[in-house]
Amino acid sequence: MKTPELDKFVDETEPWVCTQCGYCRTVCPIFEQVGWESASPRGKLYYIKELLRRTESQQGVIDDEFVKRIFQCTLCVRCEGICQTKIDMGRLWQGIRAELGSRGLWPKEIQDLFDATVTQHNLYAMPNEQRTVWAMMIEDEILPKVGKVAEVGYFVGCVAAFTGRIAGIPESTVAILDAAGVDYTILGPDEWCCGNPLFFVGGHSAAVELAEHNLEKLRELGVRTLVTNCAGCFRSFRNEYPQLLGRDIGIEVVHFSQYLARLIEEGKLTFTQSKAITVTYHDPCELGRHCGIYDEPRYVLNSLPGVTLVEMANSRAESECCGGGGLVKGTNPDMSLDIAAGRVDQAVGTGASEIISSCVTCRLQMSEAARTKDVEIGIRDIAEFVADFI
Amino acid sequence: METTLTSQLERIVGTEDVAVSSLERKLYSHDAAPIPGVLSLFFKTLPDLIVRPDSAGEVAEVLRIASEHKSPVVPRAAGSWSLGGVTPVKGGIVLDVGKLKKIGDVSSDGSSVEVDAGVVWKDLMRRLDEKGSAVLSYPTSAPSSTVGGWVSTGGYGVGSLRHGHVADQIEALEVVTAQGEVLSVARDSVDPKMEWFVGTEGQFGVITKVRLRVRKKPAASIVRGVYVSGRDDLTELVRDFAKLGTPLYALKVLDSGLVTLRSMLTSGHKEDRSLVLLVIEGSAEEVSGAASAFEKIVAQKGLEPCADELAEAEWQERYWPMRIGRLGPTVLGAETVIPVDRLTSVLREMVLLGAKHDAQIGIEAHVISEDSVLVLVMYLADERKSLKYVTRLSLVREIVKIGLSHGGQPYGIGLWNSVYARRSLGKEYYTELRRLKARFDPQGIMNPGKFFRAETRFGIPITRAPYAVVMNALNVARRLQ
Repeated sequence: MKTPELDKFVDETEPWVCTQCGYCRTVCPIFEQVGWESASPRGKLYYIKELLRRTESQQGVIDDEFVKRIFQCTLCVRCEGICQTKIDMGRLWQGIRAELGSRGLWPKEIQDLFDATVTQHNLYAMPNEQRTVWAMMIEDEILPKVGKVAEVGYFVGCVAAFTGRIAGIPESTVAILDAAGVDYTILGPDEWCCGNPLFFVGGHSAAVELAEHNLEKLRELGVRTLVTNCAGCFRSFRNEYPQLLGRDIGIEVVHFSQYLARLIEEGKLTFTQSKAITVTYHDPCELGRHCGIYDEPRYVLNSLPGVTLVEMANSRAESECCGGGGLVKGTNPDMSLDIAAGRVDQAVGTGASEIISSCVTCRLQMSEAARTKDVEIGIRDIAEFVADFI
Repeated sequence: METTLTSQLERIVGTEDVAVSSLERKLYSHDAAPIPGVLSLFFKTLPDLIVRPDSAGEVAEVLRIASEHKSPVVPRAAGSWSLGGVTPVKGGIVLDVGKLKKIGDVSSDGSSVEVDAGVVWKDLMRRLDEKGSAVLSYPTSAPSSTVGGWVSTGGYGVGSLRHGHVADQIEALEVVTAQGEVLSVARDSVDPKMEWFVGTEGQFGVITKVRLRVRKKPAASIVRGVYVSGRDDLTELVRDFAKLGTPLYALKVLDSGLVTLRSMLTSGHKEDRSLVLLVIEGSAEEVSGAASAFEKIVAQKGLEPCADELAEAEWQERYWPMRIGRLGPTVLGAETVIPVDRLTSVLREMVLLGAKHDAQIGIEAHVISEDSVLVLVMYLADERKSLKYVTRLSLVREIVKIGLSHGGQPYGIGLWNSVYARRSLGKEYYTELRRLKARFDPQGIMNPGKFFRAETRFGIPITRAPYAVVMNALNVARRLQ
């Protein structure tokens, strides 16, 4: 069977180098939940090979169960790290999702989300003019920042912009930027989704318009450094955009945890508060495994007066997923929450009283898991946590 | 009848833990080795269903129902082997022990731990490490393979040189027989004997629990390596290193061909000589003493030692022998246990075999006792090229034959080595096991059509080597085209 969409993402030999050793099974959060081979990376690869083996006359149908399983993947890419032959799993999963999309096989939840992102420019299908709804309580301070010319741009991202429960993240972020004397701008209604939900399903061609729009607006405002709390937006700008557009995007992309480290190192951010507290740090997949950012968030936490950082059994490249990636939250909400609960349990095992993360989705996921499973542990984004020390 | 079987099993384990979908059945129809589709003419590899019990009691119920239906039962864990041990030959039920994954506490004297059969070695090793303990030995597939799987199949791996076969490390087993009887078999049990269930690949029942001997985590552990040009001196060198005695935990040779292939995949370490790696463990004094003895041997022989950090990095790669598959894209392999004094000759012949067939070969040799070496021969193939791939498969038989011609044995039996079962097990033991088969599995439902002898889906015994089977299959396929 010809797979033109998949071929855009990985070399044609990529699925064939799978040795079926099964190492991926032991780190896959979905396999941990489901337990059937069809949910494991190697099981999916076995079926992909079978599809590739089919001749044109044997096209046949693609198994519904396989389609379901392909969207049961958080794209945490932990499978890539343990793979015998280092298969480029992230690209492969994106590619096969694109292939299914080109055949009209996406689940409805995926198609709806895709359409909303393309037409409304945010994944919640909200009116995009309401991008600053998170700043409702601090409008006087924030509105002057919208559309002003500045070298630093703060990209809020759809999740933080539209989810009231975590409005504290952008609020804390701007408080820190102000405390450090950073002159920054916010795109406001001109901020469009970074395209991450489209990248998750291999909808790269549809993401070009979003990427070009965001870059154009940032350029108009003279932005040279882009800061974001969202690990997904960060990954999109840093990893996907240059590849998608085939050029250097001309803007430095910095995750807020990195920016915090920079401000501390440069002496621009100092702390007036000390709190004796033990915390553990959860490495978001998109910041850690996808982008290799592990040290800066830890540097920040270790710089806070009175804070003791303890590590979970699985951290850094071995970090467990929060279950919120890959659009699994949309297709399999219960499974997604169960995965988050597993991660929260691991954090509880460290004796820490709070989990600190650097991803809006991880923060939402783990908070929801702790709440619904009645687990007593605090969960905050690094921006929220740091803001308490200034 | 299938519906009845399915619903009966669902009543035991729940509907969530029985799979009958065509996708799932396909995924449980094979192990790690890519098998050409034409072999489905001979073997009914597609199971009827897959069941996942989560206790020995449920395993027993499943086996009782299978007996009632005279349905074949293929026990399966990680499915990471490549000898067809978990490949159904006559369809039936695949019994996945993946839900049996409880790790018990280390005994109060620190000498053993009870674990479920589906526990992955890596998880056990990590848990023990947290408690200051360690396993005695483990398979190189530890990141995915299970305790039950290794006890049922191979049993040699890292640490065997010091601690022997896994059979020497088991205090007790829990096994469910084909008739659904749950047996607790201690090490000193006379009838049934524990050994009957070790390495017999699910022929007598399903292992559900293992009490393993463990050790205190060693105070010190170092890795040393030395480069060797050519293969002439390897046998003598390995023998000399093996005499380092107790602190020597593992001793492994990466043949020059494998080192070259691996170099092609890395931007850093470029090398084309063989590399001998030693892992030395024990008290600080023991380790220091053995390290000095190693240095003395290396100096005496005028060899070049590998930088310690490189040796350590190579050792960390021990779990990923199939890295070279990226060059294939398929990697095939065969294992044979040979006398240590035949190492040089065997390596030479393996390399010649590769050259003759124009196959790139990579060999790892693990010294598993003072007298024997487990040789893993890997070679590159391309499963997309059907006809050439089938001929490439035949090299497996040639590799085993080289081992046999030097007084060796195939490592493991499964489906593909079943023609060597009598020789591997010894005629007397083979006969005893056949007798036991009739006792523990009178209906012959446990993992049928392999181990004692390979049989086709129609029950016709395959008396010739797998190569012949494959060739016949190929001929049939050609005629059908």
